Amino acid sequence: MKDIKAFKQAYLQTPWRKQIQVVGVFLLCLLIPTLIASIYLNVTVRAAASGREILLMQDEIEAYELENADLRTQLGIITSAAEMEKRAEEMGFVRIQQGDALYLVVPGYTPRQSVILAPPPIKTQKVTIAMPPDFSQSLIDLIKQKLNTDSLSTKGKAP
Amino acid sequence: MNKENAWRFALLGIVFVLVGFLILGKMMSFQLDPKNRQQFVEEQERFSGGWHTVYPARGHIMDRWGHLLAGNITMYEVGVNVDQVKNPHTIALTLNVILGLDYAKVREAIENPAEGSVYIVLDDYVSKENLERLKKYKEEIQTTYGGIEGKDAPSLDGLVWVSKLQRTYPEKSLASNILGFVGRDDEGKSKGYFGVEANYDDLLAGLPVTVWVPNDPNRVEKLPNVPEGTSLVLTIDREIQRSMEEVVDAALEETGAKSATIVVLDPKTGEILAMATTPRLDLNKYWNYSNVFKDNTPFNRAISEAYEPGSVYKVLTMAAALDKGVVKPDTEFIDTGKIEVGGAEIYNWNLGVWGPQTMLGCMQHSLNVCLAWTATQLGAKDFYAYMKAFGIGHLTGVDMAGEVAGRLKVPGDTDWYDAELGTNSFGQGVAATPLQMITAISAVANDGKMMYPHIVRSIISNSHQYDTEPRVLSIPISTQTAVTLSDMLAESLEKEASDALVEGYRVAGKTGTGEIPTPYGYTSDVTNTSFVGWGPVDDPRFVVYIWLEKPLTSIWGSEVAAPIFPRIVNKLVVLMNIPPDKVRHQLYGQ
Repeated sequence: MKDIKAFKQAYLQTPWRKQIQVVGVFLLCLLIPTLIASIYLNVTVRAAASGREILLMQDEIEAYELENADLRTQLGIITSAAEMEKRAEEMGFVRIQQGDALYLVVPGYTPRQSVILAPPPIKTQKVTIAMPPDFSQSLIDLIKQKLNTDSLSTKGKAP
Repeated sequence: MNKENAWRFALLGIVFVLVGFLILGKMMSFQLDPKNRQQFVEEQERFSGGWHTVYPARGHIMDRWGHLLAGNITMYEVGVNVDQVKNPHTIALTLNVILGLDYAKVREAIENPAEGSVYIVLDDYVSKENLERLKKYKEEIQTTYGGIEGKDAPSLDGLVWVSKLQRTYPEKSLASNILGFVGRDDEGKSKGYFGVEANYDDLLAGLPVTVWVPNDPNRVEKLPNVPEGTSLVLTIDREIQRSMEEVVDAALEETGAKSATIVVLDPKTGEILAMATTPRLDLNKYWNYSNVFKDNTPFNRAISEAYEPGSVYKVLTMAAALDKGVVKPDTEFIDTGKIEVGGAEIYNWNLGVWGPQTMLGCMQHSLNVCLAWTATQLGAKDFYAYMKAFGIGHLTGVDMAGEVAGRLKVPGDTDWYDAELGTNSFGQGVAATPLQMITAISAVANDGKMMYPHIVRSIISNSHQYDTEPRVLSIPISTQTAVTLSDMLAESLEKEASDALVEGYRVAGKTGTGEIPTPYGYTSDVTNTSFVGWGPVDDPRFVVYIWLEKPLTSIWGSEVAAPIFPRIVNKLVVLMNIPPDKVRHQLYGQ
């Protein structure tokens, strides 16, 4: 009790201590929201930057897709029938005539197959449970099953 | 506080309070008035982002070996952001020089935009090359005059472009009649017209997805993965198609015919290997359509134009009679040069009397009188039942847009008369498309089975390839009838020493000359000439149908259409790796 009185006396004699306390509390109140705000700002800025990056990457993907389409078509143009024939003629090839062909039996030869550009659809197979019911059946289920089979076997018989 | 200044503070306080109340009142009015609130919500939505439709790339079309027939290429839309434009003159002049746009129109569009518009499209489908020039010029203008301020300073500010995909056809006019093209509909959206592009438009185009794209990067989300449109692998072989188009063009030039059509079909599967006709269009310049296809010319005569086929139809009449058992190959018929059916007199093509003939002779000499008699032996009921089973008068259901059904008048129709039985027996008074004819006659080449004719071999969707299975359309005749008739037609060509014979290969076939109906009766000076043939007879790999419309060098199918057949076969056997019969038998014997 004596200590408390002394403590109060000390504060009454030095009011600046109280002021420091008030200023300290005020600054603390200011600091915490500032800290939260700065963390929030930091996260927001990073999220915004990432979002912007995603948008740019989406544009990039779109550009690559367009380029892919262009390149594929370019390939189609340079391998078109007219272009291929022109190049073949320049290289000295001539069109084969019916009488020019020589037919041979080549063991293991398989005729040219139509183009396969993607795998065929996967056939879904019916999943069968390999585990017998004895391993998953509860005692009640077993009793029910037994009762059912017993009742089936006792009714409907011809007199 | 100084008392002299007290009233000033009081006044200031009152002003602040009033302003506060005004703000509060306005806020409450926004909150409580639904009209105001709606307006704010709309504005918030407008500025917070926008709806963006992602159009999938249109699926590709390829031939059976994977050669690209229809793909996509990047093109650009050029426009201006109205509020960013500094100098309309520079923009109009640049677009006039580089893209060839009308200076006055561009300037007018920029200076007097429609009320509320923020963006104006000035040109569409600008090529990559032109856009590169535009881009380079814009950079030069920016470098040279970028720092200069003032209304008259040259500036391309506000000029923008957006990339997009456009349909392109690397083979230009090759197989154009089969493919069709992609144009714009009334709303400016892409749409497939004719052929495969129209028939499979929905599949090829894919499903566009509309998503909300926020302006706030914090709310940005991944765009959904929009799968490409379905790609198609056709049954046609690019090389065979090209060869057939060459033959068609040569035939047109040699005979002076109005049009020429060739269809090549695999009788065992119904796969269309080639379908060449005239005219053809460079599909990359589809806007020339109306110049190329004048006066209601069909886009693809093979499926869209029915005509009276003439004597090639006798194959169907004879098939029906043999199958029903009313005649046999050696059944004798005494040709008197004339027969009356339903009150109408029918004569032979040369008005001649051919005396005693077997059915083989009737087919060999293409005797109208004999075939009309055969039809009468069969009777109208059975004759038309067979014709229906052959699919005459019905759509084949081929997977290309624009097919027509032709016309087969049957007893009971108001415009059917008894005489029709006689005239129909040799292919007059009945209209069929080349595809209907080849499909029907392919039954003779395929042990009596008519296969469903189709152009799409595989569909590639969601990274899987779905192959179409051959389907039987009808079995109008028995295997025995088909084999017998096939032999008869091969023998008739051999006995006739026809121009249609092919060295090294046994082929069967039949010529046809059809008179053309007009409002004043049939014409004899201009005809439709046809030929149908298949081979090798013991293992048919192809059926060929040839139609020349109104040839000028001769009116007879045996003189203009038949000689084209060996030319076609000589190309087909090389492209399809079919050895001569002798070699084939030796190889199989080993």
